[in-house]
Amino acid sequence: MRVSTNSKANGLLINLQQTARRIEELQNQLATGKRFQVPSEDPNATRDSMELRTVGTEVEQYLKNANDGAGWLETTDIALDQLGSVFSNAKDLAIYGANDSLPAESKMALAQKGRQLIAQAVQIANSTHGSRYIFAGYSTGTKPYALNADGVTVTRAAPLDAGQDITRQVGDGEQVTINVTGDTLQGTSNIFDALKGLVQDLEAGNSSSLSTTRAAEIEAAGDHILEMRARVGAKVNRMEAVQDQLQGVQINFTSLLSKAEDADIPRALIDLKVAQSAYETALAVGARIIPPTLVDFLR
Amino acid sequence: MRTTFFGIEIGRRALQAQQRALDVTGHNIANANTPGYSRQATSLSATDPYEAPSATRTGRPGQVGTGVAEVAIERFRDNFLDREFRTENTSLGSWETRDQVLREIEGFFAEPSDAGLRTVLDKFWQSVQDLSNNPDSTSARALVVERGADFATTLNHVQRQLQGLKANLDADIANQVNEINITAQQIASLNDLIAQTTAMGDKPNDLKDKRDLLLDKLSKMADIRTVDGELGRINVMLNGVPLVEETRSNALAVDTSSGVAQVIWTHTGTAAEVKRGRLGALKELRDNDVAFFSSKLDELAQTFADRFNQVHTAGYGLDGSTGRLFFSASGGGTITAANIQVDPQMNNLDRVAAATTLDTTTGRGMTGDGSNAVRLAAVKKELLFAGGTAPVDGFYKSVVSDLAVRSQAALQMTDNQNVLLTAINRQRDSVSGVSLDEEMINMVRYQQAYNAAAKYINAVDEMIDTIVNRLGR
Repeated sequence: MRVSTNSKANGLLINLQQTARRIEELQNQLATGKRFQVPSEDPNATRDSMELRTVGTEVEQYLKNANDGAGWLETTDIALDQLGSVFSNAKDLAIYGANDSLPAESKMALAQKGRQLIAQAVQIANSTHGSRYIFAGYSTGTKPYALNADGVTVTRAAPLDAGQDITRQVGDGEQVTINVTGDTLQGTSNIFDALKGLVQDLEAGNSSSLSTTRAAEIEAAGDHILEMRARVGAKVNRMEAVQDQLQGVQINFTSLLSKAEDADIPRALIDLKVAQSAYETALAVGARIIPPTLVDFLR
Repeated sequence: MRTTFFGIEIGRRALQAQQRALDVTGHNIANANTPGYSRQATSLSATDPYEAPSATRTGRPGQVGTGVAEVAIERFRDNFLDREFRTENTSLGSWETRDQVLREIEGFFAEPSDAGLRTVLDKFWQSVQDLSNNPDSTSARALVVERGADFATTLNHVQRQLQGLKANLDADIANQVNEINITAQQIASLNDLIAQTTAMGDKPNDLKDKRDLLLDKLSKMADIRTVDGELGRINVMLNGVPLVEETRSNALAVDTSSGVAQVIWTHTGTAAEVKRGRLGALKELRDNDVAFFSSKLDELAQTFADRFNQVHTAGYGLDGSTGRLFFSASGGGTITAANIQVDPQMNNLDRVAAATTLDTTTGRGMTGDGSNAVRLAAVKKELLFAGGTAPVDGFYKSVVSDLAVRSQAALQMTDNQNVLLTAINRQRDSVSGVSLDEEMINMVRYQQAYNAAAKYINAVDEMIDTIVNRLGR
């Protein structure tokens, strides 16, 4: 093949440009720490990176939701614990008050204690998480329970809140209900009514009713509260498990994202060195082959 | 019978021929770096020998050479390589243009980054999630409206950039048409000159070089085909319609009456078919690629906003309002990527419908009810796109992937074409390129031959001197 003067120069130029382009690419990688700058440099990694970043945002949000939900559930758990001790105290009162030989004044004193228990129960039922009432269904801004002037009748601000479930999303399509509605709290046979009956029976000295109906009612209310606590406790555990799992995912996700996006720095550095020396060699060779022609050697 | 001055004539012819050859060498050296130049050579040939066969020939041994003459000045050119080059150059023109424009579109989408639509959509979703956690919080509501507006303006922005690009492509098409017309005219007038020169029996080497360079240039702009004509003329066809016909050229024009720039032939008024080359690629990019991505953005905006609105209208705001749209089209009509906005009604933050339950006593949405916000957040995960197989972010991701794959293909094809063209060019150069070494050798050869011829004339002169001046003294 015949070689013209220009084809030597062009060949050198093309080689230099190719190496220069490679050097630029590697410099970009090193400067940004990313393996690619635009999607077309690596469509698959772009897809992965977009997917992972979205998953990352979602996991972050689910974790935030789970933390928020766990706080609410813990407040609920504490409230139910306190309510449980109110009812175990009430049970003691019922058993003690059922004693026929007890003088009327003592029964009145017991009734007084019962009234305090009712007030306590109302206070607990009005527990808040942040500024929100936790047993109020969706009416979180309104105090759900109030004690009537008679000191024994408990009334509700909003009569019904069945089905007003407050949820936190902790995964794709995974909603966890975190609240106990007022309807659930009261139960079908209103637990506050059991306390009211207790006080009324004590004041009336109705021992037989105390030992049978009231004792059973309070017992049932206690069981109801225990059952709610068990449910809430299970949800607290569930939230903790979700938090652990999401944190694990987050760590894993960070390393996956790095794998998808990040440049292999040592590799890029070595490649850059190689490209640079190739570039310098091409330059040196070019400097030797380009100038001399026969012109230099003719007189 | 040999004439006395026979030798002088041989010497004269030699001097002339070597001088001409030296001129051509000088011309080659002068044009060593001229683009499109093909090296030339003087073809020398011995003149007719003495004496011609005839009945009256002298009977002395023949034939005696009579010297040299330059027959023609030829250029070194391989037409096959030219055709090869132009075919591949058309491809390069297409892919290079696609690479350029698709890269620009990639810039509009700005993925993967924290500025792209994906991030904006994720943040919007996060704000709706936060609203579901805190339906009674004004700041959570404000954030939803804010992030929603971000989402809308990002769509507006990308769509505006695509529309701007479309306008730029139209302008570029007009430029290309202009340039093609000018080039075609130049080729036609060169055809005329070449035909005249050829008719005179000369070789219009430099004119042909100029025309070949123009054809090379033209081949990058459109998918042309050349047909050799009479007297060295070349006809240029553009998808079956003559662009250059002998010494006349047909002009292309841009017709904007339909709103977009359409390329037409001025002599027939019909649409000009240009499929490849820069012009073809510009048309394709505008009509297929830009239109495709633009429509995908519209689909994304409309489908997502409609579904989001559907859920939103079913909920209740804190003020008890219901049936209100969250997204709307600024200026009315259907929602597109260009006109999507957060409905101005949402400036009253209480109207953001986070609740599904109406407080019947107060007639307001329940403060603690974030269940509609939960449903709104779930819209992001709903399989609304691609025939019910992809959620909004999956759909968007596939659009970006599609763009990335197109752009990558364009880049790879550009690289491939460049490699191919480099190889063809090297071959062309091997035939047509000037080698200074070679020219130097030729120069020495012709110079020495010239010197020798001059010496020879001296010798003949001395012989004649002997005969004329000294003989018989």
